[in-house]
Amino acid sequence: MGRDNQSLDLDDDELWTFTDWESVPSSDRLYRALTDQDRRRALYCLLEYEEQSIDEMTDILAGWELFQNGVVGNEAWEQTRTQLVHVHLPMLEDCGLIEYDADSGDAQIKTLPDPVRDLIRFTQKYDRSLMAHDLR
Amino acid sequence: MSLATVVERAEQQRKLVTVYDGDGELFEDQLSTRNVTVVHRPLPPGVFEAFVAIRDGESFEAAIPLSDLREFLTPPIRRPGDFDDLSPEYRAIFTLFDDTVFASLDRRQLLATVRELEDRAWRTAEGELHVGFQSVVAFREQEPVYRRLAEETDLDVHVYTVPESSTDELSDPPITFHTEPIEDVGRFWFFAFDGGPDPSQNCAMVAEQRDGGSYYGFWTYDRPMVDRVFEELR
Repeated sequence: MGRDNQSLDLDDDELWTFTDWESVPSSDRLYRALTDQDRRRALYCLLEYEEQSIDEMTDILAGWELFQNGVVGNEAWEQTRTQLVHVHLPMLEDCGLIEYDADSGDAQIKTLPDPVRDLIRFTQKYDRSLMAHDLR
Repeated sequence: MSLATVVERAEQQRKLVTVYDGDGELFEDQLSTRNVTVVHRPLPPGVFEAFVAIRDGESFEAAIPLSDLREFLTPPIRRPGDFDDLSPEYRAIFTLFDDTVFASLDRRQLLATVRELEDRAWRTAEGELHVGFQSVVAFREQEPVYRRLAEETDLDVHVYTVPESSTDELSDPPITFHTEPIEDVGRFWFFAFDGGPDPSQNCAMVAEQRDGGSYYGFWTYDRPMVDRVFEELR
């Protein structure tokens, strides 16, 4: 299944057509998936790595927190992991964006249309820009 | 007595440091001889600065920015006096540099290490010292050193070795000789000093001889580790 080769060109008046409409999440589901920072980050990790273990994803989310906190301990890490396992990853799966195997603890990104991928990247750039401004 | 168990426990206490850095910056030089395994993983592009995750076995202990760890690694590494009051995550960082060294070593390196440990015992001049030789020949080579330690200080010196024949006359005060259990004594080269009146001088070395004559084990100045060695010997 190839990805639709369309980028986030908003000046272009042409509408997007997707080869696999089945795999395209509804607007509500897509935007709901992006309403939480950790969920956006998890999604971005999977977009970059395609597949990732839950422990490594938790490490990276913890690493993100280091910007603000300087150090992340076991309690915060476990809390992040629990949230991923019980809330974020099931929800992302429910939104049709990822596949998550609770047994192996591995998650992988589904084949997503380019505009959706661009949107996920957009959220990262946006979040980072705001964070950089806050830290200044 | 099972010194193998002590070596295993030391091994299990190995910390795992995952360096998330993307560009593979090295740490091995600084941590390789410590009881630490270092692995590198990439970071998502352009996201944030490099950091490390520290695990004790399976359990996550702490994440800190790589730049902070680098500062900790810049000598002299000072362990804060109020160590017990530190938060668990900072304790995890300092315990990375506990004085337990775990490695494959050759005979010459171990001999140099043991010399340093003997010197501690000599300077302290009191306390219990247990030393194991894998053969009587090996002991005879070092006998003058231990005889001097036993005769010229108040050290209580215990020597373990494997008797080669019934005619070996080992019993020779003030050194106390042990020949049991032969299997462990034959396999391991070990040294343990309890520090006598000054527990901070305690130290131990346990090394198992492996194929090809190299040794695998650790030496330590860490009190619980030294205690563990003594537990196995007493």
